[in-house]
Amino acid sequence: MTHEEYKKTYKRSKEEAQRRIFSEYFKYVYTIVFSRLRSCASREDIEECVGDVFADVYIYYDSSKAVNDDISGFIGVIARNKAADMYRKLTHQRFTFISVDDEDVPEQEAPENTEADYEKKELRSSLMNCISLLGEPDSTIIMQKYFFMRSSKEIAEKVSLTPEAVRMRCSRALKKLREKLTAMNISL
Amino acid sequence: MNDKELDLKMLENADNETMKQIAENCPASDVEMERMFAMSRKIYNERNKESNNKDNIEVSGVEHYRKPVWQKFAAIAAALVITGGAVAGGMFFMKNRNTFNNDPLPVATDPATSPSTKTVEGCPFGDISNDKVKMSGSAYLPSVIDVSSDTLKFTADSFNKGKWTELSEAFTTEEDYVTLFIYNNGAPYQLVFYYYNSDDSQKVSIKYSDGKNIRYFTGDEVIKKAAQALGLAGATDTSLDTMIILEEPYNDLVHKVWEKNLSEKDNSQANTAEEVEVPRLVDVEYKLAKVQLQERGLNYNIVKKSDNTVPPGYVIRTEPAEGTLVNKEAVITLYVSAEDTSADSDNGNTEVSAEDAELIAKAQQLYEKAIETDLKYGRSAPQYFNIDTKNCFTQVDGPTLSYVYDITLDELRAQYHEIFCDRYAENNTTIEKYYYIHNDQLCWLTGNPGVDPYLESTTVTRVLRKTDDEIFFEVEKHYSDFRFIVHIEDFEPYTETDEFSVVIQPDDSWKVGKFNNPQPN
Repeated sequence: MTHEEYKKTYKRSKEEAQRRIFSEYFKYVYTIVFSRLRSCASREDIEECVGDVFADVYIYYDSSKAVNDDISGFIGVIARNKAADMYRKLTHQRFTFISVDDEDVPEQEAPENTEADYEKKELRSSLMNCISLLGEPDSTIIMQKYFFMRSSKEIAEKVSLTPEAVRMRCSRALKKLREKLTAMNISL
Repeated sequence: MNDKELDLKMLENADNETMKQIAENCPASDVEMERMFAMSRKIYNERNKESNNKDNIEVSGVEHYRKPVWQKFAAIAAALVITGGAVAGGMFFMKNRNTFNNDPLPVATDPATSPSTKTVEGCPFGDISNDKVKMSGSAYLPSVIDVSSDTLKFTADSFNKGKWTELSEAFTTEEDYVTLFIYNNGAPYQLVFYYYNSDDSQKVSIKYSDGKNIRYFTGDEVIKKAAQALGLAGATDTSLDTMIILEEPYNDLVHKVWEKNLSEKDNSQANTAEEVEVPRLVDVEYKLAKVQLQERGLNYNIVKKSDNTVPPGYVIRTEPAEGTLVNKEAVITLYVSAEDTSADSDNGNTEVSAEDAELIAKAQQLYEKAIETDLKYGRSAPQYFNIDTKNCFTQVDGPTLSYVYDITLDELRAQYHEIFCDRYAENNTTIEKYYYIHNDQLCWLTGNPGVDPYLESTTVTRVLRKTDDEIFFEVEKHYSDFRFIVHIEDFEPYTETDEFSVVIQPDDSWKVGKFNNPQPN
């Protein structure tokens, strides 16, 4: 959404303008925040953090800085930073510098173009590829269950199946996924 | 990694592009999204208040920043201008509602002229800052919500600073505005705040009641502002988690709101039993009603009707009525007061004969079933049939196809026509569009259907005409939600009307006749 569009909508209704930004970037922000906090935070914490990110984004739009159509990069940075703040708060880490030996700390994205970084990227994209090859609705079920940690009941509502059917499809899909991963020599 | 689990930790620190890919599977429901949106606006509003007063505050991080009280005053004044309209709407609604406050009706007149006994500085009921406090307000009756700690602190401060003048006689009231319920260690009481006009300015009077004794006060400017802030907090802080929906009879609320498990009771009803009670939704704002139904696992269908006694946007009645036990996922029809009351009633749109009403209700069911079935055999087929979408293949200059197993084209067609009658040629298009025979094997057209306008609801509104074996209906399609649409220019909610017909079979059952799927298929 460009700044121009935002201003136009803003004149009509501030809430609507904010809702449009929210709708456009919600999934992306939620995913980034969730990724960082999934191991330690409650859903409430995650929701609060998402709200916090968007509050900053609205302010950013207000301040006439958003001139590009796609500011997802910028929003990604805010989301990562807020999530990191929340992570520190929740794990009671008082200091912002952290030991590289500390196993509890999730790895930071390494600087670009290193070999390790490249390998990880490859691995991730292979994994995502394997999951998407499962086809719908299996790929959605796998992601929502094992990454977003949703219950079968919640997933059932999303994919319009019964919870039993979700469980059934899930275990079959998991088996298929494992076969694919083994074939590609990927171990998780 | 054991057999049942899959560890996707490696995706946690993915790059932005992968994040976007993962985000496609974002599981947040509409209710969750709404909650987060409300949260973002709340934080945004707080930030703005701060930065308006202190230009140099750096807004980042999640540290909670407690505002000085005077900043709130300034912000409230500004916010009042914005939300005044909403509150006024709520007040209009309050006029029709006399049962909620059923203390004995006061007799005397204007609080300003009532003889006063004494004026005290500081809250006559003690400091409430550490008490448990709930509130109710005109904008969101008949619900009671928890007062957030920030709001409570501000209110308690104001109560302690303000001047309270006790009146020796009761007063007749203007509209009541906000009610506070204070737990007070098991000896609960309530404070009802009223506005009245005096000397061209608005003042506030307060009715104290503990279920037995009633006392009357007027408050000074400080208390008035606190009451206004409470009304606003109610409008913006409403958290559905802490909300209790009160049920009739509205007597002895002073104690009732503190009854244990009141809120849990509501939830457990929804979660454990297969059957759910239809909640009381009459006179509730319809968006709130929708959320309540969703939380109970019920579906809804909105019918707009003109009604002079219920403000626009509020629920007139539900079908089935409140208290009825229904199965989970049942569809509840919400009759919502429409804005244009006079025009509609003149047209006689709302006057439907009982016989037609029955036909319309039955047609509504069939119409919804038709949408579902059409999608089932069309774009959603892989959810229902054994279709090998992961090995889809593209033919040269042809469509992308996937093999379909365990069913034949004739069987599919027969099943489809159990719902759809073959009187209309277009009732064959879904099957013809989606299914192909390739190498003697049945195939399904595979592809990304793209993004759809989100169909919020459909309403069969009236009978248009009847023939010997066919009835034609008018149906409204409400595309009123754009949450699922990314990158759309100036989307305005809109409603389209269409014609829909049912063909009466020899055995009196109905099949779908004329039909255009409102969901692109």
